[in-house]
Amino acid sequence: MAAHGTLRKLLPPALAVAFCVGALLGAGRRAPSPAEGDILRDVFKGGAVTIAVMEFADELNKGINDLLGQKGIEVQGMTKVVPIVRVGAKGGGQAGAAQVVGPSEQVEKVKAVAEFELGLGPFRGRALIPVDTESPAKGKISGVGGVGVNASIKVRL
Amino acid sequence: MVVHRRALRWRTTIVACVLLPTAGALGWVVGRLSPSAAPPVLADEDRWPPTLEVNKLTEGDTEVGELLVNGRVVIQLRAPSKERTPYERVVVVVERLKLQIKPRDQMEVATGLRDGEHVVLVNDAALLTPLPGDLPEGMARREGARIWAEALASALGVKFVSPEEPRPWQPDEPYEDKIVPIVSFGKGKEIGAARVNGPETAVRQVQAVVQIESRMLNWFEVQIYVPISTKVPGETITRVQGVAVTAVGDLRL
Repeated sequence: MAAHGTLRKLLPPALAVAFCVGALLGAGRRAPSPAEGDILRDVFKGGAVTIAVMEFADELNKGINDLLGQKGIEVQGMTKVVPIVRVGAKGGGQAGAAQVVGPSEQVEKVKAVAEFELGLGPFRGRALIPVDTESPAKGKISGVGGVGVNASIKVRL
Repeated sequence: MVVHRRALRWRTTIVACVLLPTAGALGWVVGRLSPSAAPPVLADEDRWPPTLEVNKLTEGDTEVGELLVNGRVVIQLRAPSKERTPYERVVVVVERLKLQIKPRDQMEVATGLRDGEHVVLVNDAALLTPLPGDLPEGMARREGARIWAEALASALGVKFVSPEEPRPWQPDEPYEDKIVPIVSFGKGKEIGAARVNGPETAVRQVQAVVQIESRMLNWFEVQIYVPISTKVPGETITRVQGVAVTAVGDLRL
């Protein structure tokens, strides 16, 4: 009976993880249908965003740099793609990814970009702070000086 | 009643003859030992600015130059360089060190590489390069530089930055922020605002941030922010290098 209860507790997260992995593995093979896209969008709002970002980080970084190079506006300095992690009243969670840019010694320290949402009247703002931890929502945030955001990346299904 | 008076007299005598002189002696001893009575004695490392001296010794046929900080021998040089004797090398070290003397909390001693040589650094300026003849046989020059740097930092009472300790990043010039409009690539339509950050001379040039949108790898929508030195992008745009975005904002409709 106890085993049955444990199974019931573990089944939904296990299914969600299996679903995410399946979605990621299948992503490279074919484009999803609109209905599949709706379901996957919700699923990807969780930790799967980070998995996707880390899986494609190098390709995204190179893709952005190549695009800028073609337009003659390439970046001087080191670049890197890291997850954006929401911090603040609205709670944690991944909010896409960012390409950060700056001196190589500083960019190497960056593990994530902490996103703070700010609202002032009709204006909505997002502060994007490169940080040296992968989970800035859990503790004290220390920004990495000299590094900024060059591109904001969102997963769209 | 008589007995009572006698007891009182004895007690008065004891107080007068024993307890009072004892208390006086104790007070004298405490007074002598109190810090206010003795002139303050500064520890060697508390003297600031430090006293720097050079001493020349002869060990057999070998000339030895000594660097003394506040009277304490910190470094001994035994090897001549191409141009200087060990004593002359120490004289140069003292001249270089005097140039680096600042308030104590603004000084640090470290080791590093200059032109491929392990050196002792004071405030990031090269002070001294150990030569093979300066060090005990078998000691690596990197280790020798570290030992000297630690000894010098200790004698001066300043911070020693270990080579393993990550040094705080210092930009070449101060960084500052600025808020500029975000404009779309092509039409130049204003679509929001961005806070940019970078070296102050570069940030002053930035007039706007161009937003370029692209879709990559089928799954990702990318918004690229390019700081530019004009308010409206032309057919070609020129990036202001060294500047990047630290916040974006838009109008909620």
